[in-house]
Amino acid sequence: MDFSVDRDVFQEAVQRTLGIVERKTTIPILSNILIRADGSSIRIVATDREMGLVADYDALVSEKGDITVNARKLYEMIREMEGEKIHFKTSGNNQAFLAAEKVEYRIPGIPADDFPDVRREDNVQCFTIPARLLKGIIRKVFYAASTDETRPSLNGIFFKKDGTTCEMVATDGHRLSLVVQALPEEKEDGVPVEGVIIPRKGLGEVRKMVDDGDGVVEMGVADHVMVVKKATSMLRLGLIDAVYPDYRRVVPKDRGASVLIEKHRFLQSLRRMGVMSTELFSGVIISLDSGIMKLNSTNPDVGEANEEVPVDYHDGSISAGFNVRYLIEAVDSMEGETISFEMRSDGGPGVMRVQGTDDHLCIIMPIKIE
Amino acid sequence: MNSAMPFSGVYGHERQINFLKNALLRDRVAQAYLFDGMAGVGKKTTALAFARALNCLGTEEETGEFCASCRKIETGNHPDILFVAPDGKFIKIGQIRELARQMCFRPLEGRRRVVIIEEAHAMNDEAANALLKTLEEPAPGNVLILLTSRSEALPRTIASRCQRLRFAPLPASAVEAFLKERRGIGEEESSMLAAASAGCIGRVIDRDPEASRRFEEDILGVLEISGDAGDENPLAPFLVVARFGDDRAAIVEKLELVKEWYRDVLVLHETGREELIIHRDLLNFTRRAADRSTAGRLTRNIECIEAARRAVDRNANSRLVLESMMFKLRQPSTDRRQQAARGS
Repeated sequence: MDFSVDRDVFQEAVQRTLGIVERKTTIPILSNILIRADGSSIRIVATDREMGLVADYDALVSEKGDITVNARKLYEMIREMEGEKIHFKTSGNNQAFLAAEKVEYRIPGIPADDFPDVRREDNVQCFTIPARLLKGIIRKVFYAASTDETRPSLNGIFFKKDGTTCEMVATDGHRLSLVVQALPEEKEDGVPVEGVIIPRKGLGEVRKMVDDGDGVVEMGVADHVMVVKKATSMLRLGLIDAVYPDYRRVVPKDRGASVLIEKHRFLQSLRRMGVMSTELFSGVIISLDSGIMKLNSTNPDVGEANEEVPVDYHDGSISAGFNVRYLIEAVDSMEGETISFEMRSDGGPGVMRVQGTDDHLCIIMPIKIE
Repeated sequence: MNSAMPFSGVYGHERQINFLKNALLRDRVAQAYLFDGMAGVGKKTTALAFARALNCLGTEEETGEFCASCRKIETGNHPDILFVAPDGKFIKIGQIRELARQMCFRPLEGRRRVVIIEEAHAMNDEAANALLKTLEEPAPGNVLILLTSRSEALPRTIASRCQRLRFAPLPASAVEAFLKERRGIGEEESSMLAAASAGCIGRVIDRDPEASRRFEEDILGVLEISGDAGDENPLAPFLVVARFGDDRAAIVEKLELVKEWYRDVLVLHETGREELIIHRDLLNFTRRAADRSTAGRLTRNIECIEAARRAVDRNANSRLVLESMMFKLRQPSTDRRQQAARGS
């Protein structure tokens, strides 16, 4: 194999794989990435078993071929090299050489035949979604997914698509974020996706992919694998093989005591309460009274915080305790100026949404304080 | 698919292999297996062969070489074959949780993900409980193979959820065949090594057989004449303790060996059938010891070694433990002393 490629393109291409290749692995080849040169491009493949990234980049190929090399070391080499182009070639005994200007690196490789079979999955039926929209949806739910590995299904983000809407849900059992998004470019008979659970780490990679918000993304599911394509890159995500909880049951049917509050004001007040938080305690009591919202956080180890916010509220007085961090993250994820916050005194959940909309709900279970 | 191919590298264990092949043919592969047998007897080799058979693409007959899946398993690069081994002394809960996480995904390219848990008895309680959960609600597409040389140390709740396969020591002929065919070792040496292998190929490959034989002769020399105090050096037990070395893992291994020898003595004493002996190269010692000992005393000695092994495992001062064990092993049995008392 022999090709030359723009240094910056190569560096970014390899950097993208670092989040995927395994740090600690018992299988040596999973620390490697596959580089395959053919035609007028190189293909770089990385996988940690559960997900795979396949991406093509322009290059001047003078001899086709393939090899796998350690991703982290390759990245460090490219980062330290100078010059506009990098010349990459392999020799017969699985050695790869990188050269730019007067610098040459040699890196031993493992034959590409031993690399896991990560396919392009070109036959999966896909629907399209603007990258900007997908980025927004992921931002609204990602934080709520569980990191507790004892409940595998909650470690993922639920996704389904039907006709012209898609739904994404994340929960850790204490709070839940639900987005119902209309897809303007989809037709009624577009490709449906029955409920699947996308692993958190995998969705994190999708998030990186759509971070620039440009262009459109193609998504599809087949045989427990989700495929996400954008331009010349493809992510292949293994889906979590578990049953997702029936989140619709968590959404309250009745309406509780509801108050409208400006997002930034609410966020600032909650952050002031958050000062009282320690690892052991991060509670805040929110009380509504005629025309006023009172926030109180009392932590015997730290002190006490009190604040009164004038609000447009005229029903009976009500109060409930919440984890202040959950409230902050929920408010932060709201995309709108004014938030409607709804609470109940009977131990029912708090519900947050942007005023007058119903496409993004955050549900937060209360906690008992004192 | 011809399921015979992947197993062709395993020597002996025909019954176990046929059992696994049958499971494959009838598509009745269990979710979890427990391979139980002495260290080095071929449990892992068989587990790997089974993993290959479960995922073999069956192109071997046409091309004459391993299929892509078998080759990856052979080079340790197959993404769906996972190994868990003790991290330090124990297999810890983090390792089992990581396993459970990975098992939630479908295998990447294989038909079945095969998880091989080496020295499964080294799981601590938390890890065992976590594994129990995985065994109770197994995700489809996974086959767990637990390997252990000490199944009695494995929680019963775990063992009862696995299909158990016992791996008996190999006949010397199988070990000999392996050494000749796979290692290119000459006839005479193969036969000698096979006799010293205790039916475990793992014990003779990559080891210095001469050193291990010297150890055996030294220590058994002291133990065998035990009880006939008087004509020998009273310090012998102290001297021989040094031969166990300082490395805990090596000490445990040597204790196992001594324990097996006592097992041989007991078997010979009770049955008189030499073909049941594991350590054929030590037959002379074994015969002499069997003539002099009693069953009660031999079982007591085996318990005594087991107690010492546990103590060493629990980080006791190994020197003291071994010395005390040597004295107990050499103590004349009570019934003998009673006999002597009656006689006088």
